[in-house]
Amino acid sequence: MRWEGRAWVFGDNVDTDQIIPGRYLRRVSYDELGRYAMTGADPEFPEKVREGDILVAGRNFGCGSSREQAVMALQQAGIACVVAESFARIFYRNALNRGLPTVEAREDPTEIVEDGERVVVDLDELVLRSESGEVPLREPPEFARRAWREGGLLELARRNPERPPWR
Amino acid sequence: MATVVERFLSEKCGERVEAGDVAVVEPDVIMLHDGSGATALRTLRELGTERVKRPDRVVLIFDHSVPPSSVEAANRQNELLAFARRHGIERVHVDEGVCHQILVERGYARPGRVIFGGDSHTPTAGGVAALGFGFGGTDMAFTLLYGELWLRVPRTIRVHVTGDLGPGVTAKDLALTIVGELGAGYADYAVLEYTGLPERLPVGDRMCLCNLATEAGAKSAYVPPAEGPERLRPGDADETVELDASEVEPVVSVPDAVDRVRPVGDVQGEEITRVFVGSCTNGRYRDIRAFTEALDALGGPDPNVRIVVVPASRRVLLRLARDGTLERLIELGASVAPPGCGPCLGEHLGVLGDDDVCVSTANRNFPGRMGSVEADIYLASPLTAAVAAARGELADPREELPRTALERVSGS
Ligand code: SF4
Repeated sequence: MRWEGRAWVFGDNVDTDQIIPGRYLRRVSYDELGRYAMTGADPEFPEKVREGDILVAGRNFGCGSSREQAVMALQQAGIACVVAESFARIFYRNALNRGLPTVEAREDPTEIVEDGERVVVDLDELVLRSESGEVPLREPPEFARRAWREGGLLELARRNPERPPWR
Repeated sequence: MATVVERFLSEKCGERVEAGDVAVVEPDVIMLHDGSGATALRTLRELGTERVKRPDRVVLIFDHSVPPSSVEAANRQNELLAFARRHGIERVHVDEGVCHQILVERGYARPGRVIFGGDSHTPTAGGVAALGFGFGGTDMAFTLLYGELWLRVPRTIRVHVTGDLGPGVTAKDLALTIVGELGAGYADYAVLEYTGLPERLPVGDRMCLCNLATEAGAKSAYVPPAEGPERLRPGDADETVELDASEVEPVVSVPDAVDRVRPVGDVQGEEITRVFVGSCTNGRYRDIRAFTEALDALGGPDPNVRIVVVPASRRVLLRLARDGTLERLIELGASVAPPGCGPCLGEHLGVLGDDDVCVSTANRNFPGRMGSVEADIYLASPLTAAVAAARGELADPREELPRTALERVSGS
């Protein structure tokens, strides 16, 4: 798997309130979440982001409340994948379920990426490449690769609801 | 020997599992609230099925937007009620209080049980020696559908607390100090087990400690009961961190991160416009009572401060009403909102404006958490909140409050 696109850079501990602020959760329908993606961190983000863009962040991305709308908002905004030094576990699971690839980097990827520049996330070579350098990526678990390829565990369950996707 | 979580999960899946293993677990309790319940329901629809494997294990609690804060919220809650009726889900608690408090009050969370909840603070159940795990809506939909879910067995980090808390220093100060020392992601994928002093604290304080474990990234949290069968007592741990409670001071988490913990003395004088007392962290009877007594002892609130108090449950509210605390609170000029999450999630009942500076007894101070992204939130104990409310600025409760007021809430 491989993604190439413009990158948007965020710091450590980006929590779900920054990804989709709580005040929109029950005011906005599920299909409109993308219009508010990342506005807790950058109010202009929805105007800048385009289909296929990539988020790059530091440690503990997606911490805070368990709201799955955070994943939906990023997907609706067109984010193809998120590369971070680490992810909060509920966010990681939500992303796995909904098929948003979350790739862990072995070093802080924000060090080598400028806001808006083109980057390549290459899961075959396990590397993130930017103009100014490279950062090695962690090997994702096989079941995660499979889930991302198939559109998430949810998609697997949709095709066969009788059988738990982990069985 | 095994860790407590290895013991509990081995029991639930019927085979011996260890940290790092992927286990498929059937939880004793499947908890959903009006927020996560709505997402789970939507996910079931996406899956084109509405089966609920174990309706007898499902507990549905409306607490986030109660009474409904918008048409959208009201519709979603009505849909959930209809869903519960269709599937014979009988344990439904509407407007009764915050889910984590209700789980304990109603005895759904009890020693040895495993709880899967659609809320990140489900580890709060560790205060009564149950293991709670928080999940998002799709995982909860899976749990409804299959009665089970996959889970990687977490490792255990033990926080061993020696010594005692000094006068005016509360379990909240201890909990925040631990999060500050460990840092926001330190316990990612791990169980935080609190031993030593925490084992001797009252249930509410133990819940407060476990509640904030989430902010250190923990997957679950646990305080062993002081007495009880061997299987509930501390087992192995993969790592131990020690902390001396007598060195803990009254602290605050300063904006905009829970792990940015400073002694209150360091931010003394910071002007305050709002105070929120409540939530699954500190909305219990002793919290609100301590707040009221301290505020009273200081002569009531500063005229520039608006106070919202939200009891964690109807039972808490009743107790406050019966012993006169509620009356005193109202006389002192606090707004008392119905039991539930209140303004904790920034949706209603006291949303913050751009220039507001709030002292909150809850567990999150991220930008925008309680309303405007411009607003500042300091997390603190009910005592520190009372002092801030009275003085209109942050100050150390040990300097401001009479000795008698400090003793009442110290330590145990
Ligand atoms: S009180 Fe706040 S932290 Fe607790 S469950 Fe409600 S919204 Fe979540």
